[in-house]
Amino acid sequence: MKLPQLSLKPGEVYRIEGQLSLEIKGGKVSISGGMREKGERVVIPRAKSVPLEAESEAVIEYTLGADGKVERLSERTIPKEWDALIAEVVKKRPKTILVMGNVDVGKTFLTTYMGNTLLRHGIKMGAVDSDVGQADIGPPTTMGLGIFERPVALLYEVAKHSAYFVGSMSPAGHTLEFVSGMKWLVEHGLKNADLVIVNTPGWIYGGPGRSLQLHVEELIDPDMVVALQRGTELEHILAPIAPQKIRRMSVSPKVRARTPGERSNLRGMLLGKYFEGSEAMVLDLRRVRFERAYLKTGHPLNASEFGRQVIYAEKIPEGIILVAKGRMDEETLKNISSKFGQVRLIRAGAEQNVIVGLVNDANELVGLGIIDKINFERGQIVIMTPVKNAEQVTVVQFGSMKVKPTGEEVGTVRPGTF
Amino acid sequence: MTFEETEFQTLAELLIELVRRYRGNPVALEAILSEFKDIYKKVPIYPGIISMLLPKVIRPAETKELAEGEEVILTLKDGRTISGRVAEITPTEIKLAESHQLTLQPLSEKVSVEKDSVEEAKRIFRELLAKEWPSLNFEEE
Repeated sequence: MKLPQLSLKPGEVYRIEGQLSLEIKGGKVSISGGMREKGERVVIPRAKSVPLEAESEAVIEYTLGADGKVERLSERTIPKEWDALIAEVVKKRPKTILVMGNVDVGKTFLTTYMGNTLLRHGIKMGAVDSDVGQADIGPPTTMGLGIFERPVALLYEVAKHSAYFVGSMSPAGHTLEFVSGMKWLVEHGLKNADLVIVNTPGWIYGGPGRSLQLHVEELIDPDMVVALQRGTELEHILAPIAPQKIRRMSVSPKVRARTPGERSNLRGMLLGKYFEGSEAMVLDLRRVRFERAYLKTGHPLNASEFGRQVIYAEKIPEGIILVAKGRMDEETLKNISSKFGQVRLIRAGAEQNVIVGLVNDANELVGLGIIDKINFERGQIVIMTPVKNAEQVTVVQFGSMKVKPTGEEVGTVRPGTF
Repeated sequence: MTFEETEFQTLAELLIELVRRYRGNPVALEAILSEFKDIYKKVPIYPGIISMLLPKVIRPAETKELAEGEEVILTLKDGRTISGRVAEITPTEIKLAESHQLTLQPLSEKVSVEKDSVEEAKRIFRELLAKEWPSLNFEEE
């Protein structure tokens, strides 16, 4: 069967929307700024669209799937300032750039376009993706570092280098993990790329949002701050930043805002895909350390001394942790409290479905897991995870979300529970 | 002064305002506090979301907007406040089921209560910050 073909003249611009696959049969085109030549194939998934520009006389052959579309545009959709920014980067060679913007202004596409275009100039760019809700680099609840080793149509195709577990779908309540992770990823990126671009989250209003943006800028101390805005919505964030660092950019007109429902569905899909094929990993509690939890930071006590419901007891400086099957009466708890201080009572089984980060001895995130059970009697924790090698896991970092391996979010964890 | 780094302050101030606004209306307060409890149990990590939702628990409405099955609080022109669930709406009446009349009746005289008639007693403590943590009991600005 003969597939549809397009013969392109230099400078012609198209918007290609998935599902779609194409092959360059002749000439050169750029897709999301990345140069593609004869013989290369590109696949665009459903609900994603990218610009294609003819760099020479070119011929492409394509197949459309559900909702796939090829649309000729009258002019380029990439704002002129974006190319001016890239020209400046090529000339001045900054090491770090912060990209700020509200949600759905196209920070991800700007990053992709810059990474691809800089690659054509021989500059290898790293990208830190801080959208923990629907990360393109790495699964939700993490921030990821990707390195542009080759052109990509969409950011999620970039070679993933490292990831950092934040533990939630939002930086809210996790700003310390967030800024630590961002700094850690930037430092790793600078060891492996000429330039690191950091996408900050679209949390720009209110005290916590302003504070996060301000302190990320202070911590990273970037050479440039790129402000991607539709109007003047970022000016309050930019006000304290040194004006010579700031480059104001307009939003590409083709950027489409996602509804909260679409975001939630996408998160579920991405998590479900990540945990596909997960198996139970059994870790010895004597071997692994817990992070971001009170558990396993004190001295275990004899649980049977606290009543038959109690299956685990641990003394910590703030008081005592008890893990109990069933309810404990208030009088007993009061007596324990008078002797040991504050009682942190954990219902046995409350740990099920808590998302965790699995970390190795080099402090690198090797993958995510979902707690199935902590078996205190046997000294084991059972975690559903696609990670195969249990030996490399030495740290379990507790997150604040409860999810099922299907990707369905089933709850959040009150800070301090574990 | 620096930014508020969590949304805790917003939530605390919102609760203070809602309690002030509905001081004489126990049904409204019960609804707000029960929603607060339910939302907090589900999303304790997002106080911003709780703050966004709580002011929506009690909303003003025109009588023509009310629909059967809705839980409502009606303040009448004679000063009474009635709550309940809308069972039926006729051109001239709103019929309520599960209804209560809310009264907060001041008792100006001394009242005697027989000790045997008391089912449960609770003491009310105020100004706890000053009593239990005086070093943080700063003068209000």
